[in-house]
Amino acid sequence: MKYFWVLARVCIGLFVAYAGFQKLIQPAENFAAFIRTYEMIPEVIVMPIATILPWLEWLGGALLALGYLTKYSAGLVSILNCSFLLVLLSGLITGSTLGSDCGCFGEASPLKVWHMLVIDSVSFIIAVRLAMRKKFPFSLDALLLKPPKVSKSKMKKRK
Amino acid sequence: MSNQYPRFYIVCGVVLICLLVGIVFVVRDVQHFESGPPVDVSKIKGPMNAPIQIEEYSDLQCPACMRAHFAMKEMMEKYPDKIRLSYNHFPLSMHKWAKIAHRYAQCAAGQDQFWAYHDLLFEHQKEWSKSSDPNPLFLRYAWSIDLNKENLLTCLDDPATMDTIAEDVSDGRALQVRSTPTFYVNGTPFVGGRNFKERFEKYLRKELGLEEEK
Repeated sequence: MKYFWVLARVCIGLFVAYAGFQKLIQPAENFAAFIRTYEMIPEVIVMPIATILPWLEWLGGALLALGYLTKYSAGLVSILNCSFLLVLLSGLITGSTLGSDCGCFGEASPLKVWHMLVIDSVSFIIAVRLAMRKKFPFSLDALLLKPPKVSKSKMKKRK
Repeated sequence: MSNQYPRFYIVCGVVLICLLVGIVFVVRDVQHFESGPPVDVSKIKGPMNAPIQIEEYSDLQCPACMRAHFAMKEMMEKYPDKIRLSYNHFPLSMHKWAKIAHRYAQCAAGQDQFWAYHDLLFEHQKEWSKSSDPNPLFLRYAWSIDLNKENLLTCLDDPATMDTIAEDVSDGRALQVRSTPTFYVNGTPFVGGRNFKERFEKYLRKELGLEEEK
């Protein structure tokens, strides 16, 4: 079970980081256009979201995969997943994501809305569980926050 | 936090975050492409010295592109002599008749009738998009603007026509075009048809030093 959580942490971290990285290396306008298809978001905040969100995904995902500040990065990833889920669901309910525009964003990603719903749901559950865990084997946290080894002689002295 | 985490841990984190941020900037820098000068003059309209220079990448079967087309047309009429528009083909594979529509449009460009044909395709987009065979419709539009039949039919079969379209697409991909419509207005990208008119006009008035309309 220990290895399952390591694998889950790395996979989800890499997935989220990749999603953020893909957005970051393109003009922010591309992502802004995608956000606009979900009509619920006011125009004033479209560009700030399109600029900031990919950085949160990239850094949060990469830190989660590497296992640095794992609890917090898992928390950040779960918040991101939760917000994506809400946006996707409301888009499905209002019909704004059902290709009513032109679906022209399909070429950017081969994933359909329902694919993303499944992936985000699974990712959200795992990220929440990770945020609640105390130990993170095979992570930078485990490596850098290792308690200092106490020699046997010192142990005896303490006793 | 500094009490909870040793200094070494914090330093490692700062280095790590700097690295992650650096990777993005390096990849962005490597991917930076400049668009070459447009060769096909028949797909350009507006004065050469216009203060607003636009590179358009659009798909003739895309409804969002149609909306943006009407908005752009309105803007060009509202601000004459201020805008120079250069069209680039960007047919998406998800649109069944896009490639063939672009082929007809490119052939119309060969007869200096690109804009007339392009406007007709957007005006009748709903009609030919839903058709099971749009060729008769495309031909009807072509005759309505007096395109030369023989030249048109030869051009449609010419592999060079498809090559020109493919070149536009690859130029677009190099400029990070991922969806349609995408406009590069004086180098600034405008993506998507939603709120395009409002966003574009706001930018245009700012660039031209005009006051905002109330």
